[in-house]
Parts: sequence; C-alpha cells; structure tokens
Amino acid sequence: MSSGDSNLKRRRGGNTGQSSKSYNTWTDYEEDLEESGEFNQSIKKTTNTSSATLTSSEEKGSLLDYSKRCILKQDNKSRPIWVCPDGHIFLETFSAIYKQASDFLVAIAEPVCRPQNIHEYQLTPYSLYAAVSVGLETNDIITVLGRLSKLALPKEVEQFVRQCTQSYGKVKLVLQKNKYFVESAYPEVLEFLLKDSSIATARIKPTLEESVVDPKTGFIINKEVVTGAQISGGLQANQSLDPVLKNDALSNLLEEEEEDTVNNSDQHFHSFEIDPQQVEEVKKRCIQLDYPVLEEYDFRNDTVNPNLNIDLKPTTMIRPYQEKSLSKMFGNGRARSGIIVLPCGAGKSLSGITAACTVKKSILVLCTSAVSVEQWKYQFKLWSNIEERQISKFTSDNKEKISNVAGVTITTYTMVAFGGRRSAESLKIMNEITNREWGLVLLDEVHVVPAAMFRKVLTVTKAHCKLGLTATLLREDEKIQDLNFLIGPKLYEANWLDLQKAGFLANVSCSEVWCPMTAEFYKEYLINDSQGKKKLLYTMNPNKFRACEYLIRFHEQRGDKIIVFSDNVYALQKYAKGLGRYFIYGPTSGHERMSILSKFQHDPTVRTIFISKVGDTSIDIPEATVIIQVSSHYGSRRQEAQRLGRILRPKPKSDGLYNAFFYSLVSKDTQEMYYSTKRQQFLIDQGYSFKVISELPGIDQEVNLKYSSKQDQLDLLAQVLGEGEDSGKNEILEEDFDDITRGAKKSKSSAPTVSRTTGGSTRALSGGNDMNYMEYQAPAIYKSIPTQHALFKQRAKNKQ
Amino acid sequence: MVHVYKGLFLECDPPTKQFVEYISKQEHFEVIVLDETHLFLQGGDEKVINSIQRRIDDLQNQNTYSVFDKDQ
Repeated sequence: MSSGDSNLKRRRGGNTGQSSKSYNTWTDYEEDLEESGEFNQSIKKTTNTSSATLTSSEEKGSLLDYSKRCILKQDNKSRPIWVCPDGHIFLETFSAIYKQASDFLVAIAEPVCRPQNIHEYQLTPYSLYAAVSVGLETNDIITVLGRLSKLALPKEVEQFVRQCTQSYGKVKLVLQKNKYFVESAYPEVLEFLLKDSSIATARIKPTLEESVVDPKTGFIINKEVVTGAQISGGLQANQSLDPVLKNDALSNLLEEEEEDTVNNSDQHFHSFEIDPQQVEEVKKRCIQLDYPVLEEYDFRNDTVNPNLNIDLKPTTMIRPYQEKSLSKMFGNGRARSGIIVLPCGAGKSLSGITAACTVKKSILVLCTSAVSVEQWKYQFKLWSNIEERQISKFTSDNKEKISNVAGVTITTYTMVAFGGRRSAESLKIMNEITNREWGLVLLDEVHVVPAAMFRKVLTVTKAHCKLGLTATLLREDEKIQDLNFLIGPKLYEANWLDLQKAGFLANVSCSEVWCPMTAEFYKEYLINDSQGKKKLLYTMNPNKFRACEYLIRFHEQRGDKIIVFSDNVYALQKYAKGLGRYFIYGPTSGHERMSILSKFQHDPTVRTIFISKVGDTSIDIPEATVIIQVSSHYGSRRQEAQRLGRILRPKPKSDGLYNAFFYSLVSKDTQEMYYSTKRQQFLIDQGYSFKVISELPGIDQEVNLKYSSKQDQLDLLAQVLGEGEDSGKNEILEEDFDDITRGAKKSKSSAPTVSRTTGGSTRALSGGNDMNYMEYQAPAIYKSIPTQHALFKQRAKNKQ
Repeated sequence: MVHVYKGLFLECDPPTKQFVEYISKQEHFEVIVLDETHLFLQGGDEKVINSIQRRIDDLQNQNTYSVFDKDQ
C-alpha cells in the first residue's frame, strides 16, 4: 500500500457518514499504519482516541459493535464501494477501478452527492427501473454490487433490488410496422397479464404467417439475434454496460471467475399483439398489475414511416460521454425512451441531434422558447447534413410548412399544448403534427415543463420514442418523479467534475460576495413588512451596486465578457441604465434581443449585458466568461445551476487555474443569505465549492463608483421607497412567470378567463414575458380592421 | 453642568446598530446614538445585553440555511 493511498483512505475513515463502518476502517488502518510505519504523530493520536472511544462505548454497551456484523472482505482495499443497508452506496473516487464502478453505479443508482473523494449514490425503485430498462438484470446487479463492495452485500439491499427489478422491465410494448405488441422474454409473465380481462380483450389473435406461434400458449416467438444499433458517427451501441460486467481489469483485480452474465443474443421473445385503440388502457392495467411496460422502437425495421436522410457531418466529433449516454438509449438495436442528464454547455443539443441521426425518421423537437427554436435549427445545420428545406420551424412568428415526406420540425411546448383557438394557418400545421407518426420526439429542458402540459403534448403527438434532455433533473416541488412515467427512466447522468477535469467544461470559480447593507437601507429593511419591499431593498443595496460596478470594471479590463443577471426588473433597469449597458428582459422584442446578443458577441466595446430571468435557459452565449448575479428567484437551486451553465462551455484561453467566474452578490444580514446558501446546494452536490468574499479588495480605493456618497445613497433609497407597490407587484408577477406550479394553480383558480391565463402562463413557459404570443389573446381585435378580407387573404396565401 | 448616566457603551457595525435601534422599541430599552458605529444603552445591564445577543442570534439563524431543513 502506497503512502498516498493510505492518506486518502485515512480521510475517508474520518467521514462521518460512514460511522457504522469507520471502526473497522480505523482498526484496520491502525494495523496498517503500524506495519508501514509511515505515519505522523498526530494521526496516530487520533487513531488512539478513536479506539479509546470504541472501547469505552463497548463498556457502556450503548453503541453496537459493527466489526463483527460487517466483516470486511480480505481484499477490501481493491474494492471501491461501501453498500449500506438503507440503499446508500459510497464510492471511493481514488480507486483503481473508479471509472468502471461509477459507470455501473450511474446505471443502477441515483447520484446524491459527488464531491472530490467520495461519491454518494442511492438505490431507488426508479433508478433500478432505469437499470432494468437499459438491459441489466436482477442477478447482474446483485453480483456486480457484491463484487465491488468491501463488505458482504447487506441482505436488505439484495432484497430491495430483487423486489424492484423482478417486475420492472419484464414486459415491453413494441411498436412494429404500426402494430402494437406486448413482448416479454418470460412467457409466464404474459400469461399472467392475459388473465386480466381488460388486457385479454385488447389482444388480437396472431394472423401473421411468418411468425412462429407457440402451440401451447399462442404467443408469437421471435428468435432474434440482437445486434447493437449503429449509432450515427460510427460507434457500436451496447458496449457501455458490458465493460462493467466483463471488465478484465475488474475481474483480474478481484481474482474472481465470473461467467459472462449478459447474454442477450439468443433470447426468445414472446409477444402478443394488442389493439392500438386500447394501448393506453393496457399500459394503465400493466402498471396496476406491477408490470410497467417499457416502450421500445424498432426503428431499423420500420418500413412504414419514411426515412429521413440525415447524418452527422464527417467533421462532427461526438464526445465519449455523449456516446455513452446514447449507447444506453440504443442499447439493443432499438430506441428506448428516457432522459439524458448532461450539464449545461456539455453539448446536449449534439446528443439529441446524434440520436436523430440514428433514428432517421421524422423528428419533432420541443423547446421552451422561440429563441431556442432558432438555436436548435442552427445546431441541426451545424452538426448534420440535413437540408434546409427539411427543417421547419413552428412558432407564433414562424409557421413553416412541414416537409411532406420526413423532416425535422422544431417547435415550442406552448405551441403544441395550446388549447385555445388557433389561426387557420397554425391549425393546419398542428393537424400535420398530430396526424404524423414521429420517429423521435426530442424534449428540451424537460425539468421546467409542468406535468399537465407534458401530458397534453405527449397525448397530442404520436411518437415512437421520446428523449428528454436536461441539465438539472431537479424541481423545487419534487415532482420530478412524474417524468419517469411521462417520458421514461433516466438513462444517463454525467458527472460535472469529471467533465471539467477532462476539459469538456470550463473551470469555474464560484464565489459569493457579501455586501454589507448600508445603515439607511437596513433600517428600512427592518421596518418594512412587505416581502416585495424587503427584496427590493436588499437588491438595491448601494454596496451591492458598487460591488457590481467594481466587478464589471475589473473583468472588462481583463477583456472578459460579462452577463449580469437580475430577476427583479426594477433593479435590472436601474443597474443597467445606471451603468450605461444594454439589457434584455421579458418585454424586449425578439428582434431587439437578437441584435443585442449579436452585439455582445461581436462588438468588442459591448462587454457587459444585463439579462433578467429570460436568459436563464437556452440562450446560448458561448463568449461569456463571467456571470454576476444581482438578484435571483429565492432559493431556486435549478436557477443557480442553469445560470452557471451559461458560462460552462469550454473556454479556449485559460490563464491560471480558472477560466470562468461566477459571482453571486448577496446583501449581508438579510434573507438573501439564506436563499443564497440554499441555491448553492445542487452545485455543491455536483462537487462545486463556493468561496465567500466578505470584502472585495480595493473597492474603497476605486474612484467614481456610483452611489459612493451618502447623498447619492439617500436619493436612491428615496427612489426605491417611492417606487412602492408598483415594482413590488411587477416583481411578483415576474416570479409567477417562471414558476410553473404557481402558474398552473393560477389558471385553475380563474377558470372563467381560461384562454387568457393559459396565454399568460404559456408565455412564461416559453421563456418569459414574450410578446410573440400576443396574437392568441387578441386576434379578434386585429382581424376586425383588416385592409383585406380574411377570405381573400387566405386565398392569396394558398396561391403562393 | 455634567450629567452622569449609568449604562453600556456598545460598538457594532452599521447594520447591527440599526438592528439594535430597531429592537430597542420592542425590548424597551433606551439607546442614544453616538455615531455610525457606537451606541449608548442608557440604564443598560447584563439582561439587556443578553436579550440583544439573543435577538441577533435569532436573526442570524433565520438568515442561515441548513441542509437539514430541506423541505422549507
């Protein structure tokens, strides 16, 4: 054992989360240390005290002695994980087989927290469901877990895995040649299902001649030779999990002989056909019977739907993690629905496009805003050889005709889910969308879309396969589990720090800057009871303003491009106008947005822009290297991660350690401190650490900062107080916009004006207060004063 | 003529000073503002200091997020 190794392990031994086993570790290391003799006095001391507490506790009898219950395996040092009876798994990142082990754990468990040295994972029913769906089987999971574990696998865990996996994923719903089949490798399961009357009635007797029918059960048997699908870009699927199971290094290390556990190639699949009308019913029954069906799409054998001629350009390079995530999706030559979680800036779009190039059927892309529609189109043209005429956009501004044969259609959730009256033109396209059989639906930013809207979208569009893309599978309302049923299980989740180390993400320095409140502002903060007012006061804190100006100056001198985020519109305008910079917020028109963004990208004099929460997602600004956060949406962990994502794209120049900077300005002694810490939790779980800057060095020497004099500060205070309820209201409204759950509640409560409220909340969903959607709300007014009669207009259009 | 008041001399940063002034009305003690960072608590004693300390601790706790109150 090398000294470096022992050092790391010592640290792990101190981990409090591992208290149940640390005794073992300690005693173990004591021996070890004595043998090696290379320890310093202080560590020996701690070792002694820890064993002293052990003995004293044994005397008292208050603590249990786990050393007899959890017996370490002989070669525990080469095994990387601890499995706790409650389903938590701890992985040592410094283990020799860390890579393989983490691949395996990502497949079977949810990552909880992944800092530098120890990762925590948790087994959940959903994660196991996902594992089964990517082709792992109960016994594989248990044997590999057992093999990796330092201890014998706890019985509880084994039981849990069996319980969760035996019913999951045994039954598949396959859409083949436009017929639905319920398929399973286990005929007894099918027999069990057919005992249910509603499933039995949905069954259609086999008529196909070429299929082999089992005389006893009447099931169709497919003796398939399963080969991995060729993912566009020349990689072979089905590789990702095998290395874990068959890995030579692993088995050599552990000196165990294992049979090849995954052997799909000559499995018999039994199936029966069901009535397409009753698919929904069958799915529902299957969940009730504890056999949730997996949906898979055999796109290569789909001869009914026309192929789309799309391929990645030869110059397009897929990164290893993108390849890995997609190989989970196309595991056995078919496409399965699910969610891929990649950090912002790690190339989610390319993953989606690669999936599209693999399926090669009609593709529907759903995004959150008109801006991201543009960006998706650009990405499609950038990475693939698709022709311009095959891509169509469907937004409130752009209603392009969908390609007749097969094509890519890019639209927004709100356009598809919209329930009100549509214009004739939009209705026509919408009919196209609902009537078409989509090969693949790409769902961008799945975490922001509320469940109700999802159901709507997914029932309207007939898709063989759904792929959800997100960076933060996280919602403050914990409704994220719904996605498991609406789309599918999480197929892959990348590790942010690993990607950063590999250079696929920028190396970001995160800091929280504490700005003391000025006396006058704090006095008002204490006196005022209204939350909106309080928020405005701590956002407009002159010291924060000065810190912001100081940071902008500092980074502009370095030549960085800076984005300043402010949720509060009043503050946004005040800051931007005060500092003479461009700003974008809800009411800014699409055209103006584009022009500001392009100035920011190309004009060297425009180094800083101010953006409200409309810029949180999907605005792609690769040039930005610095983010300053002035005000934010309370404790939203997702927003923090999304904002960080704006600067995560890898940066070419890197002087020193960091090449991107994330500042969060926080007013001291206010609620903001609470929210700020809460917001950071997600990123901390991803392994990021936040520096606290309690004082910006040199800010007092800096001349000409705004609001430095007492008089200016008092004027500002008077303005803020005078602003009163208006900006308070404004801000609350804005808050409502991003918060989908609140928006949904609102639309329920005000039932009489349904169309209006839907318009409001949909607007919000598509990226904030976007004027693009105004046409829904007042089409009648505009149409009442036409220069040309609507009928003739329509005719003229048809002629074109 | 010289007036003599018994009390406590308090030094703190500007926001904390504001906070002490703010709670002085609720906790019923008198403060005389000396300058930006100094206060004089007239008739102040151990009890007053304790209650101020408690209120400041409360404030700090309120503004501190703990991983354990996740559901809030």
